[in-house]
Formats: sequence, C-alpha cells, structure tokens
Amino acid sequence: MASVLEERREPAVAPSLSARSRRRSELTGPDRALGAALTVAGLIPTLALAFLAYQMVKEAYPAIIFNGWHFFTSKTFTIGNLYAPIQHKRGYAAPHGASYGVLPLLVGTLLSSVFALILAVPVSVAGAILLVEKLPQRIQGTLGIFLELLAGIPSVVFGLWGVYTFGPLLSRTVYKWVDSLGIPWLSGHTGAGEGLATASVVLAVMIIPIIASITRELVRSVPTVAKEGAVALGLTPSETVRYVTIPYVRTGIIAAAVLGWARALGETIAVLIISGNALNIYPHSIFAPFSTMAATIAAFLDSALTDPTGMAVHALAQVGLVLLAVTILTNFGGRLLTRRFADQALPVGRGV
Amino acid sequence: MSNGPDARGLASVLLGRPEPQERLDGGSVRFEDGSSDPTIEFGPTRRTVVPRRAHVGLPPPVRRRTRQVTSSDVYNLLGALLVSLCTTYLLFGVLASFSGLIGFVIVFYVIFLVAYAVLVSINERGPTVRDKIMTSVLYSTAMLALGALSWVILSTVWRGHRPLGHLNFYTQDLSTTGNFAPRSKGGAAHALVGTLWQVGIALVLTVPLGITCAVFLSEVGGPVARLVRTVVEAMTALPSIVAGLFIYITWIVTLHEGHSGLAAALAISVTMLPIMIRAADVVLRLVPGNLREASCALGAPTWRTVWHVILPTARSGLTTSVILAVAWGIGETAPVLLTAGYTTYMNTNPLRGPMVSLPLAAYELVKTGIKTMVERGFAVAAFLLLVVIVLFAIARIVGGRGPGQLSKMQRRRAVRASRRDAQRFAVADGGRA
Amino acid sequence: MTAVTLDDVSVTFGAHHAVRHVTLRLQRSRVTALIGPSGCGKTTVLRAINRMHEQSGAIVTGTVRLGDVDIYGPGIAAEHVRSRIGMVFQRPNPFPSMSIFDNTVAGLRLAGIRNKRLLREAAEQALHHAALWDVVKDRLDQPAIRLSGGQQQRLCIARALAVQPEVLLMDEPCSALDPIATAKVEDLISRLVPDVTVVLVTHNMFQATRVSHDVAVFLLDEDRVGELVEAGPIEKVFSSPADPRTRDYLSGHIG
Repeated sequence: MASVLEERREPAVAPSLSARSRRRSELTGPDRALGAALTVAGLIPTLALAFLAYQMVKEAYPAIIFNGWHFFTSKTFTIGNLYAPIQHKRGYAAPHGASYGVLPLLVGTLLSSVFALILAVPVSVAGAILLVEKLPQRIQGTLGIFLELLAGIPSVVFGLWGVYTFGPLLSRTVYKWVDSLGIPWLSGHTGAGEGLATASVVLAVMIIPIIASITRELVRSVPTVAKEGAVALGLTPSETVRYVTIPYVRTGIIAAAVLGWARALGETIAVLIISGNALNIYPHSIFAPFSTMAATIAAFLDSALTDPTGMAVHALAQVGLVLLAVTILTNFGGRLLTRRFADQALPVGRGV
Repeated sequence: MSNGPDARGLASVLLGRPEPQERLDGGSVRFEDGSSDPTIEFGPTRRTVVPRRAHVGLPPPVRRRTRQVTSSDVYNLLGALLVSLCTTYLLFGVLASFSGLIGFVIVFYVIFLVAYAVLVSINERGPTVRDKIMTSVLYSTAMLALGALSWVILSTVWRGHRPLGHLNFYTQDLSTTGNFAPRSKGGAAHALVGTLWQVGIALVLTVPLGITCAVFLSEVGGPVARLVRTVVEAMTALPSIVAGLFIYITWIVTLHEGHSGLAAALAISVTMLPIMIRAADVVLRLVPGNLREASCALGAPTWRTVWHVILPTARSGLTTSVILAVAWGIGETAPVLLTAGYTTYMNTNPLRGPMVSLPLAAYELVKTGIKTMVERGFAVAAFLLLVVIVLFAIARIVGGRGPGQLSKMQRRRAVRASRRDAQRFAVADGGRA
Repeated sequence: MTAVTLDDVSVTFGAHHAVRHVTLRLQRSRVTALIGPSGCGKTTVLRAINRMHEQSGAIVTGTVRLGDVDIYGPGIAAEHVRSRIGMVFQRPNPFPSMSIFDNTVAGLRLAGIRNKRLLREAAEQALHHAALWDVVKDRLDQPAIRLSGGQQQRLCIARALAVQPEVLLMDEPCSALDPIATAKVEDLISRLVPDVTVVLVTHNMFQATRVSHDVAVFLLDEDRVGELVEAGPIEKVFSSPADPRTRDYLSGHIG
C-alpha cells in the first residue's frame, strides 16, 4: 500500500531521463539511483579501453625507450641469444643480439589486408547488388541469412580451410599459371600455397560476408524514386545501378570496407596458419611467406617468456600497441571519410 | 445526395470563370436552371466521354508478356556456352602459355563473354548488350564468392565428419590418447567443457553490463553517451589478439597468475562486450518512442518505464544480440591462445591450470601434423561450426518474432491456461448458483 | 489526333486489382490531367503507359498504343519505350553523381550521342524549355543535388525533355514543392504544348484547371478497385459531368 502511495507522488508527466537530468532536483530516489547506475555502467567500456591502453603503454614503455627509432627502421625481429652476456642500452637490459624491428610485420600487415580489401570490395558489392536487384524476394531472404551466418564463421575454420584445402589447390592451379606469365613480383616459388597470396585471398573470403551484408542493407535503402528516374529515361538495369545505386551507396561502401579492413588488419589465427611465418624478410614475391603484427604476437609469446630480461614481452607489447594504433586510426579515418562524403550524397530532393 | 449547383459552383471557381451574374448581362447563359453553359463548346467532336464498358461479355483480356527472360535469351546463353566450350577446346593445343585447368577456365570465360555479346547484339541495341554482359559478370562473381564460402563449410565438415560419428568424441579427453590411436579412442570433451566455462563466465560478465550500457546509450543520451558510443565503436575494431595481450599483461605478467580458463574468459569478455553493446543499442533504439511516452504519461517513473516497458518490448531483440555475441565469442581463438594455455586433459576448474577451448583445440591439433590428430582437429572445427550455425539459427528464429508474438509452444500453453480458467469460472458460477 | 491509346487496360499487384478496364484516348499536343481520390489508380495507369510496372512486379493486361505502336507488343524493349516517353516523378530525382549538365543530357548520352556540340545545344534548349537556363547557365558543372527542390524538379523535366519525347508523363510533379516552385512548374507545363503531349497526375483540382485541357476522372468502384469514370475536355467535365459520380466527386461528396 505504501509503495503505491509513493508512486502516486511521482509527477504526472515524467519526461525522459535526459530531459530530467537537467532538472536534477526533481529526480526521485529510484530514478536518481538508476541514472547513476546507468552512467557507471556506461562508463565501464570507456574505462576498460583506457585501462587497456594504459596497460599496453606501460608494458611497452621499456621497449619504446630501448628500441628508439630502430623499432620502425629495422627489419629484424629476434629475441637474441639467451646464453650470451646481456646487453644494456638507454638504461634497459636485453639479451645479446636482440633486435625488435616491426617494419616487415607492418609491411606484411598492410599488404595482406589491402590485397584482401581489393579482392573483397568488388565481389561484395557485386553480390549485394545482385542479391537486392536481381534475385526474387524469397531467395533474397534466405541468402541474406546465409550471408550473416558466414560473417560469424570462426576464423580458425577459415585458417584450416586455407592451409589444407584452398592453398594447395591455388598453388597447383592459379599460382602455377600466374608464375608462368613471368611478371616480376608475381612470379616465384609457390610452395604448398602458404604465403602472402593465399593469406590475402583467405582474408578476402573472410571479410566478404561482412562487407556484403552491410552493402546489402545500403542497396536496399536506395529510394525507389531515384532508381525510377533512371528507368523512366530508358536506362537498362545495369546502367541504373551504375548511375544511381552505386553513387547512392558509395559512402556506405567506404564505411563497410573500413570495417572489413579493420577485421583483416587484426586477424590473427587464420594468418598465423597460412602466412608461412617468414621472419625478418620483406615478401620478395606475392607467393612468398610473410608475417603480420598480430600473427607475430601469437607466434612469439611463448618464446618471449624465456627471455630473462623480459624485454621480448615488452617488445611484443609495443607491436601490439602499434597494431592497436593502426586499427583505431583506420576506424576513425573511415568515419571521417564517410562524414566528408556524406555531404555529397544527399537523399532525393532536399525538401524545400 | 448529388446536386448540380454545387458541382457547377466548384467548376466556376476552378475554371476561374466570371461569376454567372456578370455573364448574365450577355443574356445567353442561364445557370439557375441547372443546365450546362452553352457558350463553352469545343466543337462537335470534343465531348465528355463516359468510357464504354467493353469487358462485359468479352473473353478475359490477355496478360501482356513483360518477363525479362525470353526464350531467345536462353538460346543465346546456351549458344555462347557451346561456342566457348568448342573454341576453347580447339584453341587449347595452340596457346602454349595457357596450361592446366585454370588456363582453360579463363579462356573459356573470356570467349563465353565475347560470344554472348555477339549473339545478343544480333537482336538488341548497344546498352542492352552491355547490360546482359554486366549481368553475367555480376552473376559469376557472386557465384564465385558464394561457392568459396560454402566450400569453407563443406570442406571442414567433410574433413572432420568421421570422428564426429563416435560417441567417445563427446565424452573423452585426449590425455591418454596416443598419436596413432583409432577414432574410437579420445575426444574433445575437455575442449567442450573449457568452451562452456569460458563463454559462460564471459556471458555472466558481459550480458548485464552490455545491456545496462546499451540502456544508458539509448535512454540517457547527451555528450557522455556520445563519447561512450564512439568508444564502443572503436572497441569493435579492437583486434582480438590485442585483447588477449592486454589480459596476458594484466593477469599473467602483472598479477603473476598462471594460464587459466578465467583469464581466457576475461579476454573473450573484452572482445564480446562491444558487440553485445552495439547489438543491444540498435535493438533498444528500435523501441518506438511513443511507448516510452505512453508509460511516462501514465505517471510511471523512468526506472519502471525501462524495466516494465522498454526491456520487455525489446526482449526478443536483446536475446538475439546475446546469442550473436555468444556465437562470436565461441569462435575467438587468438585471445584464448595467449591466455588459456593448452592441455589434453579435462580441467573443470576455471581458476587454476590451463583450460583449452574448442577453437584452440582445433588449431593445436591440426598444427601437430599427425594424421589422426589433424582429423580430430577438423572434427573439433566442424563441431564448432555446427554450434555456431545452430546459434545463428536460434538467433534468427527468436529475432524474427516481434514483441507480444508467441511461439507455438507458448501459444498452446496459453490456450490450455485459458481453458482451465474457463472451467474454474464455470465451476465457481455453478457453486454460486 | 491520338497520342496514346489505352484499350481495356487493367493492372494487378498479385491478387489485388489496382485499376481495371481503362479505355482512354490521350489527345496529341494537349495536357491531360488524371484526377481522382487517393488510391484510385491514377499513378498506376500513368506507369502502365511507360512500362514502369515491370520494375514493381505488377501485371498489366490490355493494350497500350503509342501512336500506332503496341508498346507491350512482341519485339518492343521496355527501355526503348521509356526513352520515347519521358517521366517526371513526385519528388525530384536527379542523378546524385552527375553535374547539372550531365543530368540534362543523360538520356542523350545513353542513346549513344557523343558529339559535344550537339549535347551542349540540346542541354541549352532543354534547360531553356524548363525555364532553368538563366539560373544554372553559370554553374552547369556543379552537382545537381546542390540545386533547390524546385530547381531539381525543373532539372528533371529538362532531363526528360532533352531526348525530345513524344509524351511526357508527370506524376504529381509539384507535390513536394512549395507554392512558388509549383507556380513555376505549372507555368512550364502550359508552355510545353504543342511540342509535347503531357499526361499529368494531380490531386489538386485547381492545378488541373490551371494547366490542363482534358481531364480523366478516376474513382473507386463498388469492389474498391480504381476505374475510369469520365473523360473529356475539362470545361465539359467540370461544368456538366455526364456521370453522377463525377458530379459527386467534384462537389466534394466523394473522396
């Protein structure tokens, strides 16, 4: 009974929390508690990300000082000779011969992810347009669900498929043929299909469902009025796609591509399985083994633990920090890019 | 009902004609009698026409063929395929640089496109030819992608299907299984238990936090919420290996704890949380604003609005977002690789000792390169794949149902309950009478 | 002279009849307004003239003739029909990626005309025709979406006129425009004849009287399906409707 009476004392019209928070004095007990609880919960991800960044920087700090610019200019990443005398540099100790150069890893990460993006974007866009514009409604729904499901396939499955099934097949067929053309950098020992080319293709297959399902939503949102303008002028379906649909969704495709790119940049296990784990070399051909920052962290952490000075773990943390910076910058860059393009692609008729 | 003067009045206004009174001094028009205006005449042929109803008694009209695909299209396609196949077959001995299957496929495809273009251009104009070619390229590209993705699933299941048929695969671990043990020995029960523990702990951590945070984003708003939304979106781009490294540094390097299931669960939580929040945020923003206003207008305080109106309305959507987050979390390998450690024996204590999960077991088993172990690794991968597919299917079924819509079983239960109520009332009424 | 003949045209969306048994002759070099309450099939009939229903999946039965040509006949491509019949939509829809100039000549380019001078002349003529030349002559290379709504709509009219269509279909071209822009577009419509035959769908009876010569009245029949009730010169229909339902509609008793 008492609780009912208390509720009665509530103001008859209760606006949303945001409007109320401006008049904090009117908030009643439970609502104020709720507001506080929500704000605390809302801040946890932010705090978690800040703590993550702090931990990474703190762990990487000795390596940052020890390495200096050497980190970005050297092509050698080795934890050094654990049985030789320890070297000292800028106040920090590391095993003799230890060198922590990220450059080949940076190159490998960028090359594989950019190749994957180049392969995946046209295929995804083609697939999305086909799905929405050409196929009947019923098939559209089924294939759409399938596409979402494919985006959720664990990356280890892609990795195993790449190294056991897809890579060897590519090596026997496509690579042999490309190699026979004799184009510099596109020819070389193709091996069992492990290396940059296979990793890029597998990464592309991994990000196609992501880019395609976002693009599908975009293509569906193109106003019919805009498309009909082209159709009424006598344009064929493919001309309509080229002059209306693509310009409309261009911004969104960039955003989708950035999302897919972020996934390709940070992908670990699939690349670790397929890359061939080359160390300290730049890929001399598209079939050459290579490595990425993410795969190196996963591959090196066990042996880094054996380093008595602990510098190897610091260096891996620094690699992780660079990877984190690259992905977050990519994400924000994509966001800025889409905001800039957003001014150019307006919906039909601005209204008057 | 119908009255002439009204219609005429409207007509005179619409046509901007002078008022009848002014025209009257001409003496030729009389509007009062309800007849038409004789001065307005467009000639003998221009008369108002009431369309004839020709359809009465006639055979039903023919449906016009507007289908895009005609028989000539099919013939063109088949013809081009045939031409291409023959030409490629003949050419193949001549061109030295094309060898093997892939050369054949490329030559075949190019010749097919050219032949198709030529055949279509016999009857069609330029843009139509271009349209047909573009459509074929579109279809073949999409089929290629879809084929590759289906192949991923099928080849994994094919390579791993044999151990999946043995019951011991689900009940035993690998601690006593030798490298050359038959399929009837050893299994992945330890990895299954590990995954259950790790994802379970991650769920306990992320579901309440994720939904609360999503409520904060959608209900509170303001600059803080905008900042949080940006942070959450940045976190979805966070590479999972960095999440693993973060927990590794915090848990193992800083706190000097060992590899454990809990550490893996924490790492999985870091990757699951942003997905959970974003999915829940999208779902909550779909709750119509007028429901919120209706609840407020009844005098409900905000916390009651959230608890009794918004969350129940979004329940199926929130369930979907939880299931999707689980599907993603279950497949995470990289963070588990750094934090869980690898083991072949069953560990049911997530606080102590290495605890392997399904994706990690798949990776480690295939990495051994031993034939029987590789097969078991693929079996684990196939099992993981099936689990993910089932989760997505459930998410689809739950998410496809709007608020207030009941499943078949719920509906049956409701019908039974109503029948019981009716009986109860009937008995009560009878007693009273 | 008849520009377009509709003979017993019906349109169905799946099981639903939108409009049926329309028999109508549209006179050459005149503006014909299709009027009637919402949902009675005016736009549906308009789109049947342009074979636009192949986009939406509706089924058209009956015969539509452009001059003497059956536009649904065998061997007639929908794209070909649409390039000879212009269409303007409720809301302006210029190509978002193209400049004002490119938008104007889009139809000509797609018909295969590459000659720069020809395109330039056609664009100037069409923009003059659409009363837009003086506004845009200094900024032909700017994106079309920078124009105001009314200007965008006139650009869409110019785009349709540039290919010199025999018939121009207008589907409530002013419904998204303010009164001043509406006045400009109406003024433009009345100046289009006698070069072009215009078919105009409008909700606004005042607009119909301002710009059109002939009118066709569509109403819903007993089955809630659209039908053509009456057609003829606008003065005739408005002053002495032959069908009592037309009179009821005009006097505000229906719709």
